[in-house]
Amino acid sequence: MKSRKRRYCLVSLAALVLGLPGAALAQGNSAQRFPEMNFVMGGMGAFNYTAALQGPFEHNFGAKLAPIVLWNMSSDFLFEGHFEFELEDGETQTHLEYAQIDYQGLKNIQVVAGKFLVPFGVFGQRLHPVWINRLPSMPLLYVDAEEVGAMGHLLPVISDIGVMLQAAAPLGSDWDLDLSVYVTQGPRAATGSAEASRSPAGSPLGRVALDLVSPGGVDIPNVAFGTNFEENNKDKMVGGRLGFVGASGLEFHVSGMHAAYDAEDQLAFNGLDVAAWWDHGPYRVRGEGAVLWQQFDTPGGVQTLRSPGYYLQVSRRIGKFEPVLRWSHLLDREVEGTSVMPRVRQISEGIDYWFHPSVVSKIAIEENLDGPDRLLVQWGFGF
Amino acid sequence: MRYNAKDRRPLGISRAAASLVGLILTLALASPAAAQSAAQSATQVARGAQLYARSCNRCHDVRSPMERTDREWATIIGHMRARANLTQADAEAILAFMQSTNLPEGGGSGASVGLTDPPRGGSASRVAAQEARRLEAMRRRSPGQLAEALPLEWAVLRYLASVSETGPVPPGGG
Repeated sequence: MKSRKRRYCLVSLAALVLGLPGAALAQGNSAQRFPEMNFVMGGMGAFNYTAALQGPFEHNFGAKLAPIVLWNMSSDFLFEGHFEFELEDGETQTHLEYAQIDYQGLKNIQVVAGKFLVPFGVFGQRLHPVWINRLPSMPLLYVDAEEVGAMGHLLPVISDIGVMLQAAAPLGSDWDLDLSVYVTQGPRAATGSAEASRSPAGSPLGRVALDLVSPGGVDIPNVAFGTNFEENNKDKMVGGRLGFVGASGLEFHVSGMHAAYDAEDQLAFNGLDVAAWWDHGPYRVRGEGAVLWQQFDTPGGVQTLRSPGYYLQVSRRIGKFEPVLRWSHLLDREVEGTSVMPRVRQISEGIDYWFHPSVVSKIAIEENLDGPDRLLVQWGFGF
Repeated sequence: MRYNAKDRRPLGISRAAASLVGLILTLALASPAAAQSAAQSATQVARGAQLYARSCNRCHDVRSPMERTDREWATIIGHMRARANLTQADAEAILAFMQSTNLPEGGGSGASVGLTDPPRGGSASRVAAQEARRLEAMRRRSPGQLAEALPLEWAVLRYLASVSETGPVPPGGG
């Protein structure tokens, strides 16, 4: 029975990847196949300065270059690649954020295959680039390459290998449906200290947990995404995001994911995320909350680490200036009702100056209510 | 009837009315097939203008159509279709708008043809400079004002200008 189910899943997956583009091409647009190829380069760059405002004076500079290459193989097929080069600890770190092929020959559906930004939540897939993010840092829910040592983040900007189906359709005249479903390699337990602190590519993208210990004294494994180039188990991560996008500027998204991360496919890693946006004139309001559940083995049986958090951000455009205020809050992380990591709260107050729609200078004060405050300066450039 | 100053319409409405008259005249003078194609393209461009103001602005400030060539926009809109999960029709409408409002020669890189640095010399350059001022004014508006202002006041006028000079722009052509 299980074998038949697995066979059915594999056939469905193959049909998804091969069947849809093949069927569309067979429908008579063969004359337009590969009519003209086009190569476009874009991307982003950033300069960062961070200084501690309390305790011993520490400050450092950082720089990042993240080129994006787009290769339009026809009007139906697009290749996208996004690399990151970053100066860190005296070395140039490299990271492949995505390398994907998009099939766009259908009216309402797109098929994406390769390494792509996983649509869990909205910030990670759509808002994290430096020239789009309104503050120099990410909300506490997320972690970025610059945020090594950030306090208590919950999620990486997940980039993983697999297949994704995206569907969009109008719902009446005022709302659009935004649906994504995906199957990817999924997370794995990051066992070694090097792997626990950063992915093999050198970027901390992919790390989820910190060094936590259960009430019974058991180390809770870190979980890494996007590092499963050689799968460590049979289980894949499955998930999706359902969104409703309104013409009025309102939008809502709900995301969920499920995976097993251990070699025996026994320990689950699940997530639920709810995001809401509101654009009203010069105001932009962004909010997102997530809960992660991670099972782990103890001598007394399987226990679950529960990690919730959220952020709320408001900005207002005044000419070329844009003041921004963000409240981030990671609630206590608990195992069976017992806290294993206390809450982390942060208020970020910043102001942006927009030289151009994609060139911005940002300065922000990060008030960490449970740790030292920081000054952040960033120049971001999208090209 | 005596002229009453209170009856004066705002400039934007006058332009919209002029656009509609121009559209009707253009359609009447052209062949039925060309007229139908022009009407469809004008509708697509107007819809693209609304989507440009609404969809692109959700995540980031709108980019000037003059930053890239028409051909480059065709590829970039594909990238944005994947990122923002747009339907094919929406992506094509935004592309039609970007291409119809680009410079006649097809634009250039943002580094050489910026919003505040239009090319100089010649009547085409004057048109480009005019467009650059319009774009700059557009960029200063809030997303809500942009969505209301773009369709008739700017996009259709620009499209009609291109129709009168070169004939209807084929969908997706650049």
